[in-house]
Amino acid sequence: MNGKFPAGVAVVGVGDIEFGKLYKEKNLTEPRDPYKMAAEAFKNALDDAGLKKQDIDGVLCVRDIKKYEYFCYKVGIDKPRLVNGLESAGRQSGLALQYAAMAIASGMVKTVAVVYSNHSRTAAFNYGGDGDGGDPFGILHGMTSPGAQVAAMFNRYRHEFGASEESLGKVAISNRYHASLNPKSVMTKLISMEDYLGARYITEPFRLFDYCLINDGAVCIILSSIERAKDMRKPVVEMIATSACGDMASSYMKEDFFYKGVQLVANDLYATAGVKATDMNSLQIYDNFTATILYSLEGLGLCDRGGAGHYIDTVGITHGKSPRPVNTSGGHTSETYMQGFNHQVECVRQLRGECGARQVPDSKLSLYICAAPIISGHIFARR
Amino acid sequence: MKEALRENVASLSPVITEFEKPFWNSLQNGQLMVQKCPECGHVQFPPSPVCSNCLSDTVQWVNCSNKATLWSWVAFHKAYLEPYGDVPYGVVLAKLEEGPIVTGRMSAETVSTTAFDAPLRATYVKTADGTVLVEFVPEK
Ligand SMILES: [Zn+2]
Repeated sequence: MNGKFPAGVAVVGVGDIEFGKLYKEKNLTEPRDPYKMAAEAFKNALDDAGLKKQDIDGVLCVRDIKKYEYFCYKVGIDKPRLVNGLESAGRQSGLALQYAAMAIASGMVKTVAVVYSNHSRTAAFNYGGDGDGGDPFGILHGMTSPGAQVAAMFNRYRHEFGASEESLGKVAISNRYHASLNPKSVMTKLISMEDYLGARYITEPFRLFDYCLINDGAVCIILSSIERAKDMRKPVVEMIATSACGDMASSYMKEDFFYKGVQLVANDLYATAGVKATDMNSLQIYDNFTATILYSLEGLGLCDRGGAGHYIDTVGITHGKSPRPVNTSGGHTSETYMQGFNHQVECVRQLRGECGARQVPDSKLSLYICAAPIISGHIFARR
Repeated sequence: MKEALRENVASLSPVITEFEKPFWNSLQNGQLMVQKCPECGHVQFPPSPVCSNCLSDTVQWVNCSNKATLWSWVAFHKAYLEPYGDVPYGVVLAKLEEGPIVTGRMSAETVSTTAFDAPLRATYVKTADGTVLVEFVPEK
């Protein structure tokens, strides 16, 4: 290892499954097996890296395979030197990669597979109905789901900064356009502002297209040292910065729209990597709801507070128009809701030049950010 | 729906601990309490066993003034919770005069026609199953 952590850590393999194909399969009588999807993503990531499972000495399992012992048994990894399971929340995806990087940089392990699986659509998981951890008073009064919390935040944001609901529509439309260029996406049919505004409210002011998709799938991301990465199959993608910051309060709702926390993380990232926000070739922004993209653009320092709508109108977020398009794979509202894992995979694929019609030309730097009760972010660079 | 007609709200009540019992008893008697620290003056809600500012364990329950302003709102058009099947229904985030933001009842019509930062007053309504809820109403 050389340089400042996490310099020297690379993503060497990514694997996922055909989200769109799974979504179209109807009439399943049983939930999909999360371990089966995870094993497929794991094998795809190994193939992508040109590795054998014997090369993996660390395994971090996330969400519906958090029985990590059971997963390791099923894929025959019996003595991993780092192994654990992380809870289901999407905030864990960036952290899982960060923990893997820490373990590799420390010398504890050589190569870590982060494996995520989600069968919430066919298992009919009831997102949103379990209140909001810290605030039992809220659920008693009918308040439940992160969507409602972020919707209430957007309402306030709209009041404070004069934002319009069309700014959310523009995010949804751009995500969908990117998804139409991505053959793996769940939703590929283009939408217009009329479609956006005409869709039903879920938690007003949020409408249907402001919401992430609930679907099944799995993702595996394999990390190792940059020295080992050089001998592997694909172009080297280095994690040149990673940072996190809790945004702890009594509920998901933050009075500053995650601004200070995202700013802290972003400033860490830029300082560690020695780059500026405007150096990025693409931004992959965690979008459980469209409004989270507005909050994130501001915290990243790409525009003033309350200026995200203006940024979208002037600089832009869409491939072919923006110097740094946002969510080039379609994001959570159109590609798939793999809780930040699909965004991190997209960072890697953009830097390798594997993105076909949605490829950003000459991609050298890609940033991931997740604004949630634990904020996390990374910058990846092509080497 | 009038809150007085709302049924089975108690199904959403948390397990009440010995420490939080005074808070829930007071609510049931029609008064929302917050906590005030006698050492540093910090006011907090939801409750904590210690002052989140100075960690003093002498925090005291105090009645809130029932005065608030409208910080934000959301209207649920999807029913997630069995006692709240009457969509669309509103929820208000009210900023108490004492500082903390409290979630309370307010009809979808009232939330969408009340201005941000407008003065509100906390009132207490008993649901059909006897649970007392805080309903914020615009201050005349
Ligand atoms: Zn104190």
